[in-house]
Amino acid sequence: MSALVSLSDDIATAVAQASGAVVAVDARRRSTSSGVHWREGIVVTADHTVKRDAEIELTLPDGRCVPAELVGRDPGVDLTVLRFEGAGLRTADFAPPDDLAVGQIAIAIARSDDDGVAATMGVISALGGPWRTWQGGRVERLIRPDLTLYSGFSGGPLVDGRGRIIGINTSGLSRQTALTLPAATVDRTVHSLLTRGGTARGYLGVGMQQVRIPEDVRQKLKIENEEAVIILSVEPDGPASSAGLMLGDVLIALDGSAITDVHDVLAYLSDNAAGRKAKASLIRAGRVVEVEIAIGERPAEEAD
Amino acid sequence: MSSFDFYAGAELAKTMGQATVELSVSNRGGGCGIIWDRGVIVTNAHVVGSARRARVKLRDGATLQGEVMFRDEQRDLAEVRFDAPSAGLGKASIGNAADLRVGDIVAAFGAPLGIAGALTLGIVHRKPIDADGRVHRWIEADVRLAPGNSGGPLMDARGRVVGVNSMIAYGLALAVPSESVARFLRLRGERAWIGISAEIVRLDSAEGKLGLLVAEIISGGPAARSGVIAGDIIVSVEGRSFDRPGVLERELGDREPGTSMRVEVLRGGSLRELVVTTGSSTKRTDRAA
Repeated sequence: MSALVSLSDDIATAVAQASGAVVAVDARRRSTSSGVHWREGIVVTADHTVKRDAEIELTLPDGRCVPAELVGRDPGVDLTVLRFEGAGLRTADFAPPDDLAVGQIAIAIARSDDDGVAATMGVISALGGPWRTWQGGRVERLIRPDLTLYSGFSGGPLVDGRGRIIGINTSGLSRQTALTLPAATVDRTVHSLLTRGGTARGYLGVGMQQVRIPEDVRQKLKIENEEAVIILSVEPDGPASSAGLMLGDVLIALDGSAITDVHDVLAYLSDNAAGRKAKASLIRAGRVVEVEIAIGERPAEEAD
Repeated sequence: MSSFDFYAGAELAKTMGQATVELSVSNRGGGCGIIWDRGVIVTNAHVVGSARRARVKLRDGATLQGEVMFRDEQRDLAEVRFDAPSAGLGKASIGNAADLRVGDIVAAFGAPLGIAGALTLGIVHRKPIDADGRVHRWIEADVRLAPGNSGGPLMDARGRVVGVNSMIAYGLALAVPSESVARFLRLRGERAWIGISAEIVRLDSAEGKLGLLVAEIISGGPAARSGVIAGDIIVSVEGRSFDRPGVLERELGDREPGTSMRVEVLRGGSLRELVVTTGSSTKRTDRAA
């Protein structure tokens, strides 16, 4: 029985250790979510839990309630960065990223404004390479924990058996499963939001779907891609609309690089900021047409 | 490689198997019970319902007749007595829920969905005590439960019973803390009572402060005898204001019948303090306190 006793001690110690850098974030109605004191005065939380841009409050591990200012959001990776007066509060300790292994014990930690710390335990269920979220964000590494992410846990950390932070948990990137954003993704997002002040991801204002380009069309028009995306909707007065994009246009390339699915478009937009001009190659009425689109900014309410 | 004993959980199952029984009464789904002491089984009130007798099935398959002695629906506890055979029967070793930390390993033992002798393992989800060190009404544990676990033990990594599994809420296990069981057994099902029925009201919408509006009062009851009248709004009990519902229930749950309790009430716009001596009740409805 002593093995379980020492495991019990280890997990409880890990929770106590890590929760010193976990705060409750009050930025939506009804219930709080969690956030991690990532570095001095900077808290990171899950973007989908931040429903307002002002009057955000944090409950700190010592019980104090302090206001926080929104630095910026990146809905693409479901992260929001907040700033507060955090003098004296511990910041996160990080797990060495190379030590991650499928099957290792992992703990998700949350803090709520009234009930304090909560934890749930499981294992790391899957690890993978870089991937794109449906919202177009780039994530350095796939980390899927096998545990129940209860209400209020999004934005809190996934920690290893020693209480070191592996990343930020969110239920906002997949309907099926909890996912963990690795520290590298969070670091990059924090850096980008602190230096640029907001997400610079571009926006076209179109709805798209992947289509297969018929073989004869490919040969006739000398197109390499077997697939592209067809425009299903064009937002009135949006960037694409202003550039004259029409329903039924098939987008085959942006700035000369092939577009084979919706993710390619999102990837292009996350690397190309608003204000730039994109050269879109389209199939329209049986011919290839080039159109220049002034990339716009993603409307703020998209975050929900 | 470390030498973690991957069979450590098997020890827990063995320990608990000797102190857990299956209980059934007619017309109910059945559940489990914990041999808390020689001849004394603790289970959930909802496992035995209003039955006076329960069938006790021991680990070795033997069945005995048990008598339901006391029950407390609000705490969801019941005590069943039986004539224990002189040998071959274990009894639980009892721990303290108050000592549990978030992350501590806990295990539930019982008969989920009728599968007798099943163990599920998890961790303590939330600290079971408040800032004043008082035990919450429930231990919340991230442990899988199913119907049939009711009345069975939640134990710590040392195999000590820290709670009685009672409910599932949002996927979490809720267990009655061992401290509440001890109180229940000591008071033989009685609980402190003041004889009012009350509704939670919002005093100040800005601060979110709550009060307890006394809607009905039992004449000759403890509250009535201490000068509480219908229409009074109780704003604090023993100096504790109502930052959330359940403060009075909690206070009463923690104290014994026949003790005095300071109660601050708002009457006609002014505050006054009364001292209420709690009475004893073995039967109470949900809204009454």
